[in-house]
Amino acid sequence: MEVLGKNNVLGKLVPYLLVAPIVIWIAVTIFFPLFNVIKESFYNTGFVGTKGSYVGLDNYKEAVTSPAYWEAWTKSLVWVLGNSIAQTLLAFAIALLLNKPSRFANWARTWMIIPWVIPTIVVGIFWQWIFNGSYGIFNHVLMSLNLADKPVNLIGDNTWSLPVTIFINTWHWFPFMAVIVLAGLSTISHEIYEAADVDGANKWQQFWKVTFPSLGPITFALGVVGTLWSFNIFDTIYILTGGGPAGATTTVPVFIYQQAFESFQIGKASATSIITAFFLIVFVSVFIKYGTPKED
Amino acid sequence: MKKGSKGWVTLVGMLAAMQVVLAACSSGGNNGTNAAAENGNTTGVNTGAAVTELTLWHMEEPPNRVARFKEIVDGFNAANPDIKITAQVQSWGDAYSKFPAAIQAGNGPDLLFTIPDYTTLIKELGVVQPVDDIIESLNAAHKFQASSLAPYQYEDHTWAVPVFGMVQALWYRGDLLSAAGIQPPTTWDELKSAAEALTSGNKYGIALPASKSMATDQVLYSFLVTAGAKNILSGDNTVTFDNEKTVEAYQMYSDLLKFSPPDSNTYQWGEPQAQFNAGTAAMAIEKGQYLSTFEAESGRPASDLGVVPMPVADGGEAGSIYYSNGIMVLTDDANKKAAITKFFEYLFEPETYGSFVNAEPGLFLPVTEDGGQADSFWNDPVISKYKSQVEVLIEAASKGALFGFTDGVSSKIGKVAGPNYIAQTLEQMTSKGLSAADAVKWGQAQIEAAVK
Repeated sequence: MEVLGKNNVLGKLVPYLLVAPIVIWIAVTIFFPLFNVIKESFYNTGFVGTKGSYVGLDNYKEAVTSPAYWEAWTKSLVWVLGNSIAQTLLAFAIALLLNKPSRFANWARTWMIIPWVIPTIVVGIFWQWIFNGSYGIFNHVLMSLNLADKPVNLIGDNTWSLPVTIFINTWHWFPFMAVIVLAGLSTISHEIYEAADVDGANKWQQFWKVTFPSLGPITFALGVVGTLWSFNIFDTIYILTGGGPAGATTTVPVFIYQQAFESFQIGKASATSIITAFFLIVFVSVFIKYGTPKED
Repeated sequence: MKKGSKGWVTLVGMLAAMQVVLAACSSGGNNGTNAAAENGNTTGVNTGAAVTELTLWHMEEPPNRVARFKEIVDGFNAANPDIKITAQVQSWGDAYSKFPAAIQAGNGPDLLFTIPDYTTLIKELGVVQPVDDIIESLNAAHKFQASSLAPYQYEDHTWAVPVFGMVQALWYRGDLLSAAGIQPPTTWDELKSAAEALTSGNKYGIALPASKSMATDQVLYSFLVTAGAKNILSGDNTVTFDNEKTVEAYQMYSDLLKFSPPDSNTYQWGEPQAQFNAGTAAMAIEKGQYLSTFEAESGRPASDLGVVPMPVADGGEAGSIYYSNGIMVLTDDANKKAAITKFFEYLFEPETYGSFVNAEPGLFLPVTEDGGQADSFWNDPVISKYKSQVEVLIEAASKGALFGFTDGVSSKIGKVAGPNYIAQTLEQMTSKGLSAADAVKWGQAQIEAAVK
């Protein structure tokens, strides 16, 4: 204390010294790699470790004029929308069902989260088993019920692979959303519902006038986080389909991975990543500006 | 109290200074090998006689292979107390994404397992050392198979020492073919007829991979070779993929897929073998890994496992995909190079070499003449049981070819193999409904863009 009092400069430095470790940590683990990715995006680097030559904005031009990139965006949009709609509907439905005190609800709340805690690689393996075109149980059921005369190969089918992958990802992640929604529901006071009852509101009206607006902040947070999260999912898709067949499930992250680690075009992959990050930042900014729930 | 603190600071400071001085002294006393040690390459040990330490990375992860390689390395270390090789198991999955960075950071190995197209990529880092002297001496003593050496010989040097080869052939279930009265096919026409005749209900004539994978690339390439279209990319990176014979090969593959299980477009390495061993598919095109598991997985006697060379198209040529796995030398340290030469001499001695190659019996084939005759190779329980099958594979190896290495050596072949353009061309037919001619045109355009 005596030292601090005498030397005001040291006193001013202490807060900076205290936050320095975390600032350095962030700089080393986020900004340094990010800087390298930005730098690589201006070089025609082939694969990790090699030195490319400076190509200016060529990688950016190639990325924005590449039909494959925009095709991947189309797949990503379908992926994000499909997941958002399916997960939101399922999560809300389950959360509303489990928001009543009962022995079943208590039991179901615990067991519901099982899909969420299963590692993605395991999810990939067992859904591949279920949908396997030769000996999967799905085909066995279809054929036993005479719904198909020969096995169908959903994961390897050009039309079905993306919807099936969305279904599997939804199955994997909806419990997380349901838990969040359930937490939100528990914050709504019962007195509001009692007042609505007294006013003669039916269940449907209570949902739209009380429940849904009360969940606004949670829905907003899930909208932002869930969209970005969903967009950036790579593991589930890659494990299940590898981006195939014939690019049917090649979303933007899969496309970037293929550029970097299959085609050995780190420079192009870096430029594609930067452009993609830019679009995501724009999305988040717009979403926050126009989607933030208004305080009444 | 203050005085005491100062004393401690002085003591700690002196100790630290002594550590630095001692470390510097120990560096100087190790004949310069510590400069490399700092790069993670060598660690000299001051035990009187200097020990040259070498690190070897291989990507053969199955436990049986790991154990056998370790056995060989331990045998060498025991016979050479002045050298210590440490074998470390890595993953092919990391080979393209992590090894180059590790090598550039000075944390790479001295010896690195490789395949031909991987060598062309790693060579770009400027660390791969020519092994001409080693090859010359080994060739004089053991005589390499030409097809094993060729993919590593370009720019006036040999860039890796081939250690074992892999070749594809047509495997068939003798019991299923006999029951249907079908002879093992030798031509494409016979292959198609046999596949059709052997398909009924949930039994299939053949199991072929058709996903975007290296497995599909390789089986398809065996069809390109036998169609007479083995040259897809020349030494100056001119793409010659789009031609009539390539189209024929794709059409044939697509036709055969009608007699392959319905989920073939998700198959990679394991699935055709599983279907074959389960008796669901009567034929499959693959390398020699079928030997070691056949009896246990199929419940059938070894005599039911048949193999013939790849059937040939009208106007095509005999052959299939063949490539050797090799070892690259990544150090230019003279002491280490001398130790590496000794290691290769030990490895290729017939009594050692057969045992090394049989780390995976049937899949790994000898690349030297005397290795192919060594008792240590033929006395292996699996190899001796399937002697006639192994002879077919060895014969097929002499006629093998590898894309990118048949018309000069393409420096860009890694950019074709990495994205699996050969397999992706097939996907254009199976998933997008393109004709063989249009799919091959698509493939030509993709490969041209990749290598430009």
